[in-house]
Amino acid sequence: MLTVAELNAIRDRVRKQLSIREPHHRLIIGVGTVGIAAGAREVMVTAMEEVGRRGLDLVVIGEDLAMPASDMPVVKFVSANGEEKVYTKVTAAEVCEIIDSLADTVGKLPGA
Amino acid sequence: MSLIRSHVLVCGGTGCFSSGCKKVQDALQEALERHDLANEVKVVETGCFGFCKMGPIVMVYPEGAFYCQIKPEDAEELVSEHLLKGRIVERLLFKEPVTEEAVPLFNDIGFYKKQRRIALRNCGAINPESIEEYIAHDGYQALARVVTRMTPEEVIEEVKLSGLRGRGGGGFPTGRKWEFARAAQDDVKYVVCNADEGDPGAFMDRSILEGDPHSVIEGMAIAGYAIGAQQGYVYVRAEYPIAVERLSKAIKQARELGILGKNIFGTDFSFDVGIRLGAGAFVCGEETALLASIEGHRGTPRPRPPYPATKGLWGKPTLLNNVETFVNVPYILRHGPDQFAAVGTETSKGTKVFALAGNINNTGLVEVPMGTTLREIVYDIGGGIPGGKAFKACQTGGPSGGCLPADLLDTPVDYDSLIAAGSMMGSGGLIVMDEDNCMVDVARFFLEFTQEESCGKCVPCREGTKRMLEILERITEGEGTEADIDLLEELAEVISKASLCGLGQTAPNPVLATLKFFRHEYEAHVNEKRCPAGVCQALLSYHIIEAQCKGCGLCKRVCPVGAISGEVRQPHTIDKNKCIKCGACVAKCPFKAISR
Repeated sequence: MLTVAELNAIRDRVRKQLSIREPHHRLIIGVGTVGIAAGAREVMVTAMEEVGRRGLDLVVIGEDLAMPASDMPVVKFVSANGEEKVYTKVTAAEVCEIIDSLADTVGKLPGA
Repeated sequence: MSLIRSHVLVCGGTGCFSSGCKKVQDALQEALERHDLANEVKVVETGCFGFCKMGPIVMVYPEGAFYCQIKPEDAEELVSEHLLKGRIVERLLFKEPVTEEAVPLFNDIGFYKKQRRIALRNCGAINPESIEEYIAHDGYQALARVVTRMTPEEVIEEVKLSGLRGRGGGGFPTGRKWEFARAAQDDVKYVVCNADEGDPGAFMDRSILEGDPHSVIEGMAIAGYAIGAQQGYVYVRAEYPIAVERLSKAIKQARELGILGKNIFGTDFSFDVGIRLGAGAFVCGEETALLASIEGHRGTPRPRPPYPATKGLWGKPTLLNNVETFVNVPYILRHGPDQFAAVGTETSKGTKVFALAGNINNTGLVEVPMGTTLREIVYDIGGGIPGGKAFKACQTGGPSGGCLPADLLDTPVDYDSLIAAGSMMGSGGLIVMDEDNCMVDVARFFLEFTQEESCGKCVPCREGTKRMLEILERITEGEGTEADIDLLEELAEVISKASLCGLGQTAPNPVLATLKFFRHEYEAHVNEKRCPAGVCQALLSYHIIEAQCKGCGLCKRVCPVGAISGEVRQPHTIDKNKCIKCGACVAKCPFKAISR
């Protein structure tokens, strides 16, 4: 037998995984050819791990950002209401700091 | 910890299945593994997106990029460009038929813009084989609320307030039907879901069962609680294997989790659902025939009353609703009757799903608010008629319905307006016909169908439809007389009044509707022995217009029976004794020199 509380627990747990399909806040990593050459993949994987570990309402997206090659890897934060922040020459360690600075703005996913 | 950053949704409905979605899914998975992205990107099989013509459909989240007609060969580019480097692959996006412009996002596509998805809310959005994804989309919340916090009477009151009417075609108010079943005094009652979708070309119920089986189960369980039933059955045709498989899986998952079975959510309410397969007889969509078939008898109707609500399955009170009706129920109980009733018209609330087919650019499944006009469905959503041809008519309600001509295109789609215009809502088949369709032949096609599907129990339907079909065949073969048209009308009246069930009572409708709006076509067949649309072969006579023929010889080469002769650069001629009227020469002639 399933209780209503258990039903809600399943809902909240799985909704977290499905937040990808309805993103609120987005952290866009420039993963074009130049970005990847400058280490964007590592930044991306680290960002995903960090966001997942902290259960933040933030979706990590790879996009080919049109930015000068010297700025790569580039990370762009787009909030749910469209505000943008751009970070350049981001290392894997720095992306964790960026996420930390955004944690209050984005908040946690329900049930996280 | 989950590291998934992207979901790739691949449509797994019957339409996309037949255009090869399984191979696309496998190719995507392989490409992801090659690029070492299998841990970051998850491929999910979903139900029908509705845009069947554009299948196989692939949707990539979080961007919401909508790719169509994807082949297994495209998987590599999709993965290496979009999923690795974040570049949307423009060549694989949907292009609007008129502007040829690529549209990256699902919601910006004309086909979806005017749609309002309530019944299809989860189709294409979730993995139908995962009860957890359904629960994450607030699935089973309505059932939990109903059984723990509401009385059966309150549930029925909410359904009544919502204004929901039966989506199987009849349009009977659902809340009142539930009230009758509730009032019936018996210890044992049943809830039955009619998924015996028989209209040619209609596939609304199939897509819902394939794409969102849990909503149907939830709707049935709520109905069970409301009327006091502990057992439900879904009667579905065996020729819907994917629907049956997904529904079976869904029932199994719901049982394992304790959502079906004894003491649901810790209450006294117990409910279970079983599946009964039908062999695909059209008459088994009629409620009493359907119940007979579930009982293991031959599927034939019986006179009503008693109605199933008082005496149904095995003589017990039975509530029978269609798939689309049940799927609306959890939405109403979750969001409240007002939110549902805010959509639609005064007498027809909510939305209606249509299977758009025939001579139209965007074929597929569409869901529109009641009151949307046929013109909006055909032109804005359906993208108009291919090849710039003229719209002639659209058939609603399948073989039981009628067709409406171009000057009634602004008819709002709701139960009452369609009946007033001379057609009916039906279960949701919408077939568009252009100038190349002969309306007498269309009527003949539907009569051939109903005559074949007549169960034979009552004389008016068994004999009457046969006689009507014979007359229509006579007319299309050029042997009809004016008296035949009168006889058709007379027979139609008797059959619709005297037949036992809905099949017979509505069988003459396509003839009556075509006679009402396209009588001139019948008269051309009978009086002038001419088929204005050039469809009825017996009435065609091919000849070459001398002045236009350049003597290129293409027609001569393509004629399968060697009926065309002539010298090069000289006008050719057709031997009418040899000609089999196949039309191959007309299709080939570059100078439009052959008339029929």
